[in-house]
Amino acid sequence: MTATLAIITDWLAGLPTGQGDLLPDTALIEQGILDSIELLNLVAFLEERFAVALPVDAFVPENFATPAAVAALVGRLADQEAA
Amino acid sequence: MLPKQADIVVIGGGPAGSTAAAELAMKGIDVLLLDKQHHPRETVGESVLPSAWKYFDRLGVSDAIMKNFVRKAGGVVVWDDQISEIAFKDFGYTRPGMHVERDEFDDLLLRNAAAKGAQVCEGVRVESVTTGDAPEVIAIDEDGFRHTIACRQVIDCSGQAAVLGRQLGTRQLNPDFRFVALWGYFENSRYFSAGGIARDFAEIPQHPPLTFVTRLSGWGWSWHIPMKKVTSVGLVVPIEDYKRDLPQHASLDAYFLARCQATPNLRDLLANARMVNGGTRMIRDFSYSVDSLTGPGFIVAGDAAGFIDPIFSIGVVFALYAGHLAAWAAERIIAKPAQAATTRGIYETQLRGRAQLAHALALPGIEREASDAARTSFDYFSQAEKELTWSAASMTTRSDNVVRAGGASPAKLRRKDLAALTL
Repeated sequence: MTATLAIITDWLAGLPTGQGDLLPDTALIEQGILDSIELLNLVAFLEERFAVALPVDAFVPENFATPAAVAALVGRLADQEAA
Repeated sequence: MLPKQADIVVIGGGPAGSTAAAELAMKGIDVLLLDKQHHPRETVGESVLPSAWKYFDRLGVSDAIMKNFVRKAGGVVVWDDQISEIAFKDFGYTRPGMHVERDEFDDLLLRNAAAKGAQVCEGVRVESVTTGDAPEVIAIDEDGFRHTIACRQVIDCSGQAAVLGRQLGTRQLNPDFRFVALWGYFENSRYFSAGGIARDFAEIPQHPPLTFVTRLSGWGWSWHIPMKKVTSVGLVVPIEDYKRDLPQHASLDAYFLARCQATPNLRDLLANARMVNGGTRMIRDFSYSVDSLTGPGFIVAGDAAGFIDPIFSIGVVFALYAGHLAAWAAERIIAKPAQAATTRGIYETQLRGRAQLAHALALPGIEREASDAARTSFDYFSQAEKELTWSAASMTTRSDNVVRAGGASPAKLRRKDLAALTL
């Protein structure tokens, strides 16, 4: 597990809905772990923690479907920041 | 006494406005909420879905709401030849829906916003908003004095008054939605509980009610919502039918009661009931949308952002969601001005998706809009929320397009079909 993925998984595990084992491919939205409220909180957390800015077009469900998808999104945004 | 400035001014103290104000106050933001009326004040829309609890939990009002209002177990719908029931627990919800007296419910949320630190001023009507990077709210108090309040963001939750939509000319009436809503409050109505079994009003604490919806002869539908003391009963009828039929009756009450009497099952529930609280209410039940949901210095939320007759009780939850989202966006625009455009974009996309879904639920024959809504909103729903929405949509012919566009298969429908109601 990469450091990014571990940090994201830790944050998700701290949600009231995030109890139990969170795997990289756990379906966050489908299982109700990431609801409409926590999604907004997650965006704020990612921006603070990883110093990235989320563009509108990144705000699609696919990017938040699993912990791995969120980590991949952060990776892409960090690369863009660096470029 | 009205302040001369605030970080954020919220217009309107309904569920969207109170949610936005409380959320912002909890973050330590200086927020002023203005309402033209004094709460408690009457309004309609009394049924609340269990997805509201996550908002109530955050606002710290869950215990008060559970204690003060009637718990509902689900819904039962009679539509043409189909009688169907859904129970929230079948979708994994651990808490019930609620039937709430809106005067008391809205007042509770508004007092909570004040308790969280929002400054609440009632009896203050907003005349206009000067939009821009340094917005100003022009408001008139009850003595007729005009006040100018400087702020950084305005959140318009003014409901059907739609302060900004009207001011900016961005409010569009939807020509497809031409109904009137008639409703009244009844003492001693019977109600349906689980299994479609009719019971006496006094049995509500032991046997939680279902919201009862039935199709009317011709087109239109009715609602039946038992609350603590009275039952809200309403009819939504095409405006042409209303205009044609009303003159044949001695009064609005006579017309309303006659149509209730002409509706199977509803008439049985009302057999020994008596209309109270001042008789029949009537509004033109129109639908509109607002083109500019955000702009420099402002965000529009709740019914001020668009309205359609909220079938399946989605109205209050939609308002809570919009209030929450608006608070998030307003705070973010102030904290991260460089990202204001992105924040507005996220806000608009999310809110429009939900509004499209509400629209698709309410009207048949808008396939494309329904599938757009499915993509932008359904994909953010948990499996339980999707199944509840599909199942509810499948109970009437109003929402066929949502069922199809959402890709619902019979296996995903947790709807019980009943052979008959037990009256």
